[in-house]
Amino acid sequence: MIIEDQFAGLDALDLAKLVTSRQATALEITDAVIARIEALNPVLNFMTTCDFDRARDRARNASADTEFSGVPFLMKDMIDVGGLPRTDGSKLMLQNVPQQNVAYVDAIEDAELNIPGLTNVPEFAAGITTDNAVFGATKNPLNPEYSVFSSSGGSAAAVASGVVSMAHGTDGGGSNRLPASATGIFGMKPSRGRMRSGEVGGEHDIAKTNHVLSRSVRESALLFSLTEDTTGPMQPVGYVAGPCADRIRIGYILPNGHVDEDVATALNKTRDLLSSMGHVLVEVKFPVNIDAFTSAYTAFFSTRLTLLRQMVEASAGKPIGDSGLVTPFVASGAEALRDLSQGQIERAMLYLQSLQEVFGQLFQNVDILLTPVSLVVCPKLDKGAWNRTWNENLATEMVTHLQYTAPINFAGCPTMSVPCAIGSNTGMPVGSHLIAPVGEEKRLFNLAYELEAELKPMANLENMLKRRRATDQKS
Amino acid sequence: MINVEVETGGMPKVCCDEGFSMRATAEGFGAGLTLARDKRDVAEILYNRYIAFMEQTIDHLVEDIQEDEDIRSMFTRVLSLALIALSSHVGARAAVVDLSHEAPEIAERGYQLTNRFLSQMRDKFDVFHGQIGHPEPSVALENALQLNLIVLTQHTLRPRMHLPKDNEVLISVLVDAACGILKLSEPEAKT
Repeated sequence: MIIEDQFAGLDALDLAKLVTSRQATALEITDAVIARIEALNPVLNFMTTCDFDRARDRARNASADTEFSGVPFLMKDMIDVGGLPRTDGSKLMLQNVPQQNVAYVDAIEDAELNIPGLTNVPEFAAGITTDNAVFGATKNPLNPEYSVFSSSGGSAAAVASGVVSMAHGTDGGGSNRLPASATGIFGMKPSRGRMRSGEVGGEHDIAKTNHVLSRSVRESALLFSLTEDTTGPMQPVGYVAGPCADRIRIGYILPNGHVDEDVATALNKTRDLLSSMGHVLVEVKFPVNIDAFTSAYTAFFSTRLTLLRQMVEASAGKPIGDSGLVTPFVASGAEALRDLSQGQIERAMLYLQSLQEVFGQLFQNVDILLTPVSLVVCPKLDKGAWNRTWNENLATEMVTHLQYTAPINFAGCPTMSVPCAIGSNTGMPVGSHLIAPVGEEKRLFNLAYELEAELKPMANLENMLKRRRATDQKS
Repeated sequence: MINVEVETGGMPKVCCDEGFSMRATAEGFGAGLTLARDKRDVAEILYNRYIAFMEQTIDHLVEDIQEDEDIRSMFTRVLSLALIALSSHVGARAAVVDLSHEAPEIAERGYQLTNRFLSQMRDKFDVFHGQIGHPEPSVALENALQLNLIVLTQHTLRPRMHLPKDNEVLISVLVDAACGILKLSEPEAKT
């Protein structure tokens, strides 16, 4: 499972330069990516929709002198791309074909990125692994026994395997950071309201933000500058092109409860590395109580499931569990959470909204917060997770995986998983979770460049892929 | 951790020109830093990698000098790449600064990088000799190079507020300063 064509290993900026300098055409690069998808998707299962004919047409007409010059870019199957079916990984949505792009997708196309298809997701992003009843489970390219976490898992598999260097993700609770950590790539979630809207009405979700998973920091930073909303209340960041000489104050946490040894080791090593590089590291307490957050997050989740249940029952004329339109996991979750009172939901929303202030106070004392992405390296592949029945223990376990990522969505802060280590027990990559105050994406990019320069995560990724191929060949 | 060296052949030249490649060229965190015992170990690994990286960068910079190269374009190219190399490793350089407080030999090895560069440039001196108006051309060339490297080394670790923030403008200022030391005639475009 190694990409070995002439464009292998080049990031989106390098590919665009090849087109701009007339050393390659956008069509040649698009054809190579299509060949990669055809070779690897049967093994890894990261695509939901392929749109190769339109991609080739667009590549023929791409402008060579633009930022991305027609370089292929995959979108997550959870956003409206005009003319392509948006399924959210659900049977319910199979006939849903939006006719128009949302603003964020317009910005992607204005940057002259070319979309040859959409990537796999768990049904409505519910669940810990990227698996659904329609398209099946996405495998981790570094070890097929592992999942790619959730929910931008199809994009993570495509990027980590080298099919594309950068792909879209939505992050409403850790969906860009968890898969990025599990596959050894960069995954970023910008501040709430920072990017062009990914919603049909042009509004911004309280938790969900659009950006990318990528192999290099610079391609993420460049696309960020081209897709951020420059008319919003925040000062635009622009293109952050490299690290910054400023040494900063970084708070780190010591995780509570059971932590995978590989995760604990990775966190310690990242702390030592940042300290060695002249930053001031101070221990801080993660300002979120997991029990309170689990309760509030479950209530928040129930509001989404209630809307879904009402829609399904109105169209099917029967209870959601009998409709056959959504998986047992989603249906049982919608049923189980239907009895939450309005008071419970209002208290939960107040709690979640308070997190912005809670993290704002923390950032009075530190410039950046360092935590694990998750307490586990990565869940094993769990085919049929969608067929489980929702129960309280399962919900608690799921939120435990998200306990360092999801609160940040409600705080509205920008955050990033940077590939920082390879676990000696699992042999899998482990990301470090870096969080900045609202609006301070530049600080994150600066630090990501600094870590990238010293850690050489793409060298690690290529080595892991080579070792995987050697293992596969032996077996 | 197993370390597998990854081939770098076949890379399109455009990537080399930019001083950047996505292709794996060296071991990463898994092969080195996970074995480090403490912060000092980490700093030493960063330091050793940084020195190796800079030695390679210097070798490539000097190798790339063309027989008929104009001295102004040489300074622009060399200083631009030095700026990229120094800026991209601010973390490792901060580690070197910390280490060198305790171990003077570490600072000395840093100075040896400059000596390595100047020594290699002496071998290329003939290329530029005829372009320099200073009565002692070789001394002037070494002074110009060393002064500019000192400025870049300092500025990339502790940016000076009165130097240009834009990299292209900064390089242009430094090249003008170098040309002044060398007593070159102004480029035609400016006259």
